[in-house]
Amino acid sequence: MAVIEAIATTYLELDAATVTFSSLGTYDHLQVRASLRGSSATVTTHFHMRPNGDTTGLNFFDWMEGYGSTDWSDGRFTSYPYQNLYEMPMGAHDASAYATWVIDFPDYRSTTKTTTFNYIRGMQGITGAYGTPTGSSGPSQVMMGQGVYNSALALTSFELLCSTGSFARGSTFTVYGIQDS
Amino acid sequence: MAVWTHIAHDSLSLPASSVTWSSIPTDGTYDHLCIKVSARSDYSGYYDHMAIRFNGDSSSLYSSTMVEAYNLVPVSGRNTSAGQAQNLYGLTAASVLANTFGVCEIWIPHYANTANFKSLIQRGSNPNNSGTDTQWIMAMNASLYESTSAISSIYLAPARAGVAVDDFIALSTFDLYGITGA
Repeated sequence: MAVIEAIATTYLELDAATVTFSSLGTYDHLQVRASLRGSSATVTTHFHMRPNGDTTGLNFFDWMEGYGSTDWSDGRFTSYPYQNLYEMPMGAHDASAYATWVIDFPDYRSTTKTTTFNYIRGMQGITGAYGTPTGSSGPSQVMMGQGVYNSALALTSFELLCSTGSFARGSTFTVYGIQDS
Repeated sequence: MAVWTHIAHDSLSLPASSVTWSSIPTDGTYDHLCIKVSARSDYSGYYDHMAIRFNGDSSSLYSSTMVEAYNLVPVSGRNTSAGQAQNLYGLTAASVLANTFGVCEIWIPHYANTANFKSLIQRGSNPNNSGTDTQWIMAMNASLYESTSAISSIYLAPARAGVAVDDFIALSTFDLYGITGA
């Protein structure tokens, strides 16, 4: 058995509001690689995740970001019903621009540890500068983020969804399992 | 041949001040190394950070640059002529939410070559259930080891107040992978 295996890949042939991975295997660590775009024409869409489908406000997250001439970070996000992995391009940005995430979940099957993860995220566009056309941010951002899901349950599934609208056609998600033998 | 090979796994059943892997092949078996850590220290504060040494070398051959965030303004820092690559975040400590361990990944490219100095790139996370400044932190680190020796051993230790002053607590896990090119 290989050390790293692709558990599942979802490629969206049509817009989809949610994508769920519910068979995460028995690996040591997980990694998710995603290439995403929101379906909304005018509203900046955030990428949300619900570990174990849980909506009970056990999620805490932070990030640091650069978007051209400045940068910022924030960790004031506590007791949310989802993890927010931040923005993806929308309709008013470049038609074929997708944002990229690499998300790592170490020791995700532990039943003692809380579920923690971190990620890097980037999106680079040409059309639509910061603050335009709507929403808080433009299409050019690079980010590192992290979160904790305050549950000692093993991570057995996660639901991926949008803050508004859907993931656009062409968005892809692949979940990898990494093991020690 | 597999692209990824698992070289070593340490899962602590008792606290330990360091983790060392030795006899890492330097004969071309692997091209790169990757380390994944899920660890927490016994320091009483909110976060610790790690140091890494190669080949048991603690001479002043290491330098590191970091970008990190623990409030609304990310900052960058660096240190030079150190006895270890340091300020590798991703090591939570005792005041963080119970049972919450850090997230740390370290890549060491071309670790076995004997022509160039060795470098690493790392990202580490210390998430928490608090949104208060300095009670969470995340960082990326690039470090240089000014040696052309192939890396055959790796030493990891908490390093907040000096190397190996604090302990990794039980349940901390450390995995070393060898990555092979085509």
